[in-house]
Amino acid sequence: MKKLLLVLSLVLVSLTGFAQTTAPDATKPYLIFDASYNLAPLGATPTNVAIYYDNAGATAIKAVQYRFWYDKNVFASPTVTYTGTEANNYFQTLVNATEGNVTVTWVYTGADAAFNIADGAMFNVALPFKVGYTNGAVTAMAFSGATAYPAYGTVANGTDTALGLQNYGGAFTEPVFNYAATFLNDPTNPASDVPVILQKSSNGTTWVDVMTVNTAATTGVASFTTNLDQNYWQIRVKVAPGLTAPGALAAADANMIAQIATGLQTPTGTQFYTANPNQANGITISDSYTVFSRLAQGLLTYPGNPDILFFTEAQYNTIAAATTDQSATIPGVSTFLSANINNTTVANYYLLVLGDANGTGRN
Amino acid sequence: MNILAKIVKMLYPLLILGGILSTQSQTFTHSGYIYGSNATGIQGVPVYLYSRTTPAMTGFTSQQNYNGHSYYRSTGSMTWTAARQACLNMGGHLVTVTSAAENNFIYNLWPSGWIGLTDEVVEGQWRWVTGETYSYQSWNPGEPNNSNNEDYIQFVGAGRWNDLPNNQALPYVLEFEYIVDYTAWTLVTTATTDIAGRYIFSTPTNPSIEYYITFTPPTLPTLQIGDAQVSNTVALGSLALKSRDYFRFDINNDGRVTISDTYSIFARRTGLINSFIASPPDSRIFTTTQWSTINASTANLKVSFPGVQSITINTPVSGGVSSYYITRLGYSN
Repeated sequence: MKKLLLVLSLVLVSLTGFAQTTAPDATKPYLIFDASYNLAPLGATPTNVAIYYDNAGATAIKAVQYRFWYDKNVFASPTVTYTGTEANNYFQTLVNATEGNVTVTWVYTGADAAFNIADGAMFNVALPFKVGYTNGAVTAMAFSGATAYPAYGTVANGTDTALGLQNYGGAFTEPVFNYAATFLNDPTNPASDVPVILQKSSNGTTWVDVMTVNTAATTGVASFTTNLDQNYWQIRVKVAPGLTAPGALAAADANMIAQIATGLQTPTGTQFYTANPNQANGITISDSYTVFSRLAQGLLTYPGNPDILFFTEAQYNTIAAATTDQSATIPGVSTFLSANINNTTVANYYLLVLGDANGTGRN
Repeated sequence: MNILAKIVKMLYPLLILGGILSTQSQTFTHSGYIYGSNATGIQGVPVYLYSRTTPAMTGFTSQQNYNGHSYYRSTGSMTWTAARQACLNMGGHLVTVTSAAENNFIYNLWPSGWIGLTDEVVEGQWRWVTGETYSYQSWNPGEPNNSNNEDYIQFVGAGRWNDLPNNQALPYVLEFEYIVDYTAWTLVTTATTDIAGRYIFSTPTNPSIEYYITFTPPTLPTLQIGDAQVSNTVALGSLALKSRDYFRFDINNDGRVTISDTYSIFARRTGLINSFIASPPDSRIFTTTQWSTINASTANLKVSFPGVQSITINTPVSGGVSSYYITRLGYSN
């Protein structure tokens, strides 16, 4: 159980990260970069980076000056805005696109002697992509760079005080991509424990596995949440060949196949697949034998034939509604590859277990 | 005496008259600019012109001072020997000229009249009336020629000397071996700088009047948002830090210009602080030469160029121009 919790924790961290926006100590006020920031989709609105202020000390701070660096090869000149709530302020920035840095000054201009800069997100850096950027690596935000600039805060009497610059990472992650693939044995029977692979490709030819999630037993859903810019990557899901469903087969299935073969039962649309495990010559007594033989021998797979065929929802609906064998036009696949799922969030997919004539399914 | 010398001597009265006229209806003028730290004139600075004069001396025109001596010119004319006696009666002596500088000084003021040089005792042995060594000479070409027993000396053109007999009446210069007492300094007028920062004095004068000009930094106006904004451009780096910025924007006097200095300006403007923390001089005045050095530098020169809190221009030259720069802490100009 402990290992499971640890794994779950690591997964959560990798997917969402923990916001790290507080000062590391109370010795001075801090400006802070969070551990990570979501990179905006390619070609979309600018990437936004929040800079946080946190002062765990007791001294009120009236103004700050500092400089930060951004990836000048990825981003064009950024726009920095003050996101705090204090209206009485004078806020200026100076962008050096050549060096890739921005100098920032913010000063309180009101008449409240008790004013103290509030903790929280203080600035937002809007970083537009440079023309021609194509999803390359992005260097993390930084508070230090080639040309130094002294960071100071200001106390009430108008003197400088040290301003800490804490960078918890400042790294960029691609936009979050959410997708739920539901695998079903039939519309009311979810398929359990199907290992669904999320894949990405930059060219539609070479595909890379991103992650694998097994479908849940109760819902048949494999949920994906990962950082993937779907404006750049082509994305699909895959189920590798060799998936089996030994628990779905029983003598009842072999009996039912024999009855269909002898004409005692009329096959449904899906039974043209499930009652034909040898996938040859329609439904015959040989299919019944195939199931009996596997059960009797304790085999985990059919020699030479897959256990499971996959179908899209449209294909399944066609099959399920048919009274004739559709396998000539809709053969199904043992290696499932979805169409590209960019800009979609959910889809249903179906599987049929060969030999599972009574439709127990992969549970 | 050759013909040319005679012609020149005939012209002497005209030269004398011209010299007398040149001392009439004079005007003292002096002007200048008072700039802020960004070379924009500061309007409304009162600049004061003070003067003092010597006591009135009957029979003489204006007093002039040179090298610790006072000089007067007679308003009337008389022979050389009478002039010598008149000077003795005044407690002084007929002017003696012992250097080119003094010769120029006298001649430029009064280009005619007797001076205290004679060879009446032994012909050709020239002596000053005071017994001072006769060394410096400024004889006119061909002089002294002792034509018709000429034993006494007058100024002629270009500060040159000519010998004359004692039968002519000329004005003369009275010299004292000390500075004759002045009157108390009195305010003549106040010139207030205009929108360009310019002040101008123009007042009737005569050579016996001495002046001085003085001013102090003006009362500081209300700090403006723009002052803080300019300060911030320096702190931010939009404007490169220059030496003058230490004088005007290093509010807390820590040797740098930061956001804290900008805050100080805003805070003083809004009343959060009543005075700047380090209390350096709020204003400093610099000569144009000093400012030229400061303005060309990027270093903090506040120690080597502390500036002054008031300016006094002693014996300003008429027609002269005297300009200054004032830095005011917290102000962009």
